Amino acid sequence: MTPADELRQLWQSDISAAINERELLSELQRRSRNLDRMNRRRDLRNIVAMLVVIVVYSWFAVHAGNALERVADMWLVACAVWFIFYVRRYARISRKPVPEQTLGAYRQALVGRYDGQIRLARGVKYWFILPMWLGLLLFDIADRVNGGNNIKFALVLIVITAGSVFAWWLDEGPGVRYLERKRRDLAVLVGEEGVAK
Amino acid sequence: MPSEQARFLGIIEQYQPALWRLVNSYETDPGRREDLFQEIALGVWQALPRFRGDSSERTWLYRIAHNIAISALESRRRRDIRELPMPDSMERMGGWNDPDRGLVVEEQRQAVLAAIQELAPVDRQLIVLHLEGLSYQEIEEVSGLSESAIASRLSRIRDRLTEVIRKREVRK
Repeated sequence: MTPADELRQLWQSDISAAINERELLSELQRRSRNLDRMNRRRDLRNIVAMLVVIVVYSWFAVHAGNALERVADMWLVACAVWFIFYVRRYARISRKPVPEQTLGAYRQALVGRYDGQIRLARGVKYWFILPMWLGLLLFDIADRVNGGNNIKFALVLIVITAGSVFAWWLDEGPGVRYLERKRRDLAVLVGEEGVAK
Repeated sequence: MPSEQARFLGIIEQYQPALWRLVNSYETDPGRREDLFQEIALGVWQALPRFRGDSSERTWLYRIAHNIAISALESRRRRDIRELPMPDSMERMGGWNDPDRGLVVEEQRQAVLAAIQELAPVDRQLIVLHLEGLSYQEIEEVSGLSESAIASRLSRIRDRLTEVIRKREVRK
């Protein structure tokens, strides 16, 4: 008998079987049902949130004092729909990969999820911060047109711009660095080959 | 009983010892082992309706089991505690008429298991598949690596395993 055969024989001599299959099945069915329920609730929450934003800001748009304010309200409605669509689309992409694929492909997919999240975070300035800043700027302009003074206009502009820049920095600085570190850790954990960036 | 449930029960019954060995190669903590076993079983249960027989049931199962195990490893990597294997499998072990011989074999088995747990995940997956008796072609189907790559890596892993076991014996 070769050392390899001995090793295999030794390995396979552990014949533990500690789980009752039927009890396991009923436990798994319960967990599957809970998971499905959780997913349905999450989807429902997203849709309700989107509808609330659309209804509220549409109502504001209808009752707006002037055309510019109406445009700003409609802009925010469009932003809300866009954000929810974008985040849900990315959530689908970064969902856990199916485990039936080969081990190499699965490792790639695991690391790829982080790549997707990093891309999402790097794009925040385009798909979230800029549209929000434009919407708030429109409100500021509308207020100025409605008779607000220059100092208030300037102060609001400074506050929304500073807030947007801070969010941008937070996201592209510490946020992206955190994700990159997690991706590196994972690449080391699962084996470097084939998962290099 | 719906055929899917019967099929699932059949798979678990047939492969339970092999799945426990696989779980043991990833987890040292007995409580976590059971959690991981359940995770794998859940993965198999959820994947079963998608199984079209494109590969053998065995390679399909090993793909799922190893992939879920690596995901579990990722989830707990920040609180990773590398412990020596618990001797719980000694309690579960059966079939040894000679207690001394049983103890020696168990010690050897624990040494092999500990050495496997120290390997890098990819190497661990390959050696476990090999020790479970999968052919190079089947390991290729599971891992996605070429047969030649598998052969050379397995040779290196076996050498390393032997070396680690020898070092452990020297330390004792």
